[in-house]
Amino acid sequence: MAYKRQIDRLPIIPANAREQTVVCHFCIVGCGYKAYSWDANTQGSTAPGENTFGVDLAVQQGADTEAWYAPSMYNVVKQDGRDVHLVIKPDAGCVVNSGLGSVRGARMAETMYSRARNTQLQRLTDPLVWRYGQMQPTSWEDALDLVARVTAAVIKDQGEDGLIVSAFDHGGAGGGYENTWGTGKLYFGAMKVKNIRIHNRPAYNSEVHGTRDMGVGELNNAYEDAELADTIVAVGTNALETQTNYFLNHWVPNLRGTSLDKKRTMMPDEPHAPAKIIIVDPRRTVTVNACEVEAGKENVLHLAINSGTDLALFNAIFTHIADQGWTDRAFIDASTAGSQGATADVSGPRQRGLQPRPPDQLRGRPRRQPHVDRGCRRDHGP
Amino acid sequence: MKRCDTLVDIGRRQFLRGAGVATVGAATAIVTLPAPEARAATPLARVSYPSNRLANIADLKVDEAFDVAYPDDDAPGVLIKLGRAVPGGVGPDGDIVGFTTLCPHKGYLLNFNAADRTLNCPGHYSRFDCEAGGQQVWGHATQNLPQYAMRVDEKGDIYAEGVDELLHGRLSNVL
Repeated sequence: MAYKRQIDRLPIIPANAREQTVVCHFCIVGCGYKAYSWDANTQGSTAPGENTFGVDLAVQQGADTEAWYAPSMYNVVKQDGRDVHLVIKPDAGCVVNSGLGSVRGARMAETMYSRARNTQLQRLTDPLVWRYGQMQPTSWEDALDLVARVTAAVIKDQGEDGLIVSAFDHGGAGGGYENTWGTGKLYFGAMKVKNIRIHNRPAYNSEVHGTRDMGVGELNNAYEDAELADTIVAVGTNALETQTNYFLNHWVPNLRGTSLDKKRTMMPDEPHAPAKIIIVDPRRTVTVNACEVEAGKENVLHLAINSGTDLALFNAIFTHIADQGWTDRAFIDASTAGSQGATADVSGPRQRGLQPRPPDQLRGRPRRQPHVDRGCRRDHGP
Repeated sequence: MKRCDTLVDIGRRQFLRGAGVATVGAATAIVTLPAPEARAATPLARVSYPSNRLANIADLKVDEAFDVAYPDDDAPGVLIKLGRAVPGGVGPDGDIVGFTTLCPHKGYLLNFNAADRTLNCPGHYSRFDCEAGGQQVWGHATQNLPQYAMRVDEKGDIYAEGVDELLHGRLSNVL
């Protein structure tokens, strides 16, 4: 049987509740939320003048309403030593998510540190060390002593090149190193290690390894680009699950064609159509399915490459672009060194042999303004 | 000084004891004043649900959604006869379930997909399993689908008498 809370009403946010604008502390997308808090002993009511929404809460609110929050968006926490009610709900005024909540952000209140609701039990309070077949709590002195002795032994035996740190890197509103601040200070600041990888990658690099090698850094576009692009190219990303509201609020309008007016207004001198999309991913994900639902199968190209062949694919695309002469030679010469060699390299027989398939499938795709998203696989970070 | 303080305390208690009769008199006077009626405002642990007749068993066909509304006309839902006993199912075969059709993510109206017996959201693709108590198969809601507590009387009339999760668009299931 499915889990049910048996909660059938929630405290109403009073008109004078403290309202703070916050950003979701889970994935990199950075959705806006509103945090409301008010004294545990007070409450609002359904009357328009007595709740923060200024609406009559004694009637059913419609779809997309601002005047509703789920039980997962509510908790009782301490502020300045006093128990307060807390509601953290999606911010309809935020351009990132426009009121949409994901399964991550819409749970922020429920997962807040709350002694009244026992979530404090889920917090890590001591370092854990793998001993006797399981993670065991220990003291900071013991844990750091172990780190120091292993580190010293590795460096003595193999030198600094032999020392490779595997760290977890996440958290802190909008991504970053915030909740592993101590680890970062230790390895980057104090020890200055040469080799470090993070939870889901072989190095501290992009999750879509080939793209950075090709000179395309991640997170280099505005979300609005996804509403305006003729064609979206998504490499190794299951954006509907891992960057939910970026996908729902910015890709989908373009795939549906509901951003056409915006495209015509901003770029009046060219014809516009709903976006097409190319998805490079070994798996058929829910993102692929959603794109087919929104744009029609004829506008979705799912390149289900073999794992590890993304660089070969990019080289094939690069070769095709160079062969067709879709290049700005003056710009490339002014911006790069040895680009002639690069073209020759990827056109050479060795690279040709690596190509999983000739890029025939790609021919005939629109070629203006590709929007490249290098999102995440199971991860939510950059 | 310590001893002196103690004596002051003793003296204070003595004073209060001595004034006992007068205190009782005052208390009696207070009781006669109109006090706020606390009992009338006693809140219930859950909201009180109406027992509403939604349909008769004869109205239902296997794998077809039968539109209803509960606990009032502004709260759309469905009854579905699944053809086999399921959690929360009522009726002689234990196979009749009732759910809200307001998606608990953003309140869009769910559609019944008979092929896999799920309720599907056209807004953001969330899906809920009618055979598993409204378990979210995939989606963005942070709760499983609110299901009706139901009973069937001897005439085959189906009544809803409660909802097990908060309905979208209202901060109290009964407005």
